[in-house]
Amino acid sequence: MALYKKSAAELSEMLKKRECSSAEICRSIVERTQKIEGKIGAYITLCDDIMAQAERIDNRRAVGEELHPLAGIPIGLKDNISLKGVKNTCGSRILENYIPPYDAYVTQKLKKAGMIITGKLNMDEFAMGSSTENSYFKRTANPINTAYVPGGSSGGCTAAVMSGETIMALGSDTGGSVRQPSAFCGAVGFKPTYGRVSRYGLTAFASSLDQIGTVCRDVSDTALLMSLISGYDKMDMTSANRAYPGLLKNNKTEISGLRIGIPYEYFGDEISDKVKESVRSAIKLFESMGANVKNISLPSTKYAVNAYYIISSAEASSNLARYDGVRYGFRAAEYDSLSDMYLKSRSIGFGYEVKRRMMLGTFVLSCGYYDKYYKKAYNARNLIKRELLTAFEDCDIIITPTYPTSAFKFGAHRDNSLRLYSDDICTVPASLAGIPAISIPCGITKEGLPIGMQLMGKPFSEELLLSAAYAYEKNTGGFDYISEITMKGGQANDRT
Amino acid sequence: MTVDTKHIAKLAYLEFNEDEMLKMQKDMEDIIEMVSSLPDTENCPKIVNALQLRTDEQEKEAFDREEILLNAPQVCDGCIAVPKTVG
Repeated sequence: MALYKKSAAELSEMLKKRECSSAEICRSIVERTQKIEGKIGAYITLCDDIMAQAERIDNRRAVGEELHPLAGIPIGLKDNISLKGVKNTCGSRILENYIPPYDAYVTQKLKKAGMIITGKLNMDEFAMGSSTENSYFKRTANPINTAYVPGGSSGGCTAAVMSGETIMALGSDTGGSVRQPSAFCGAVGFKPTYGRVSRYGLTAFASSLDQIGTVCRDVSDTALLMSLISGYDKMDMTSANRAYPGLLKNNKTEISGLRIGIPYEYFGDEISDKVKESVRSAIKLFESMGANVKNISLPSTKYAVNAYYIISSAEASSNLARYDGVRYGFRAAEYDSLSDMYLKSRSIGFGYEVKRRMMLGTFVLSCGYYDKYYKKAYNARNLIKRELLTAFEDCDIIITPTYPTSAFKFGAHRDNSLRLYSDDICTVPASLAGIPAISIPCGITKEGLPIGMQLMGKPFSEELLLSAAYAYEKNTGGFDYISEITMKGGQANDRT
Repeated sequence: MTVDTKHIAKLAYLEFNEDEMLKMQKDMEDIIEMVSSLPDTENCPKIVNALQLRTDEQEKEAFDREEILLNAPQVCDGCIAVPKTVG
């Protein structure tokens, strides 16, 4: 089997036993990327030192140095996670030429572990979107069928991991941006508890919701990568100061007695029949493995999308005020005055969806509307959080669909973008509550597109959540890492 | 509900041409109608922060002036240049 098709855990074992070198793994990834990137369009920037990084690690291994299990394994970064000296565009024209002078906390961790950074991956502009169609630079195709979107906003991450253009990736998840594209591409996407992973060096979108998450091919890889990037960081005010032991060290597949809550509100009419059927079959499998399944109700879920869009847009309007064409980023060529320079730089530099969210955020914070929208949304957020935490008194995990549908075709929601907002219904509650959630594959449509199931847990219950996901994966016989890419839809970069 | 989109655009430092403004006007009204359904929180006296922020001092990182200026759109004598603001 080609090296690019293997999981990080498999490659790590091979490296340890000297059955392959990091240079061989990276060559396999680079050749694969050269072959298919024109059709997938996952990268905004491909690192030009991949082979040099690999050789350095191979040399260290050759002299007998004790290395991290992920040393020599390729990984990609969403283009909003800083890698010193490499463009960090956030999928936006306004940051087209911005080169960060520092590494994000997670990037430092990857480098210290000796991982090979392959490049910066495409995304919806400033992580606002569910299809990666909002990128200023290119569109990214779903590797399962290139006529379909990979999901978003971390669509470049999931497309690269599942097409063999890298082995793992780090994305960001504000309202589902790691979990939803993972569901669309058949990956395992994990959003940790708010505060578990430092956001230092992650470009801010909505600071009370943003979390860095992992995109991997299976649960074991997710545990390896999460164990590496978790940790207290003084550079992030929201970093949680606690111990982070390594995850999933026992590889236990025994879940007898696990209490699983199934919330009625996540199986409504907006969820497609095929998705419901797949998630329910998966729940039956959990039951057959000895789990106790219980129906529950989370009535405040109906407010989640509204609260999410108000809060995230309000925070975005504040965070994105920094882009004014003065210190870094795009500056308009023609203007009459300083304030006209701000106006023109922002109006040319930002795309429509980003402007729309900034407009909404500005509106809900404006005089006369704060109490009616922002304050109510914030209180709704508290209700949602309280309800979820109360549910966890009787359940260990909660299982829901990750998204109402499987991947959709390019342009499918061009005339009804509000539908894209309301379809975030399954992922935004965990974001509002700051709890961990994972999306794992649980089925496939008749078109061959993957379906994702979401497992949520209480704050800092990552070990339990990953154990349950791992047990499920093993009981299904394992996830299919890289299915043959059908490439039915033509070139990814033919923008329409 | 009617939204004063021109006023909001001014607050957000954004400008739109006539067609974009019409589209934004409709989008804003649709979105605001959609997000308006929220629980009555009259009895919730104040906003409770849903997050736990640390109370200790956050560390800061210092950078080389030269390095920072590499990203500036326009530099003049080692400073970031902007249009004249006073006569």
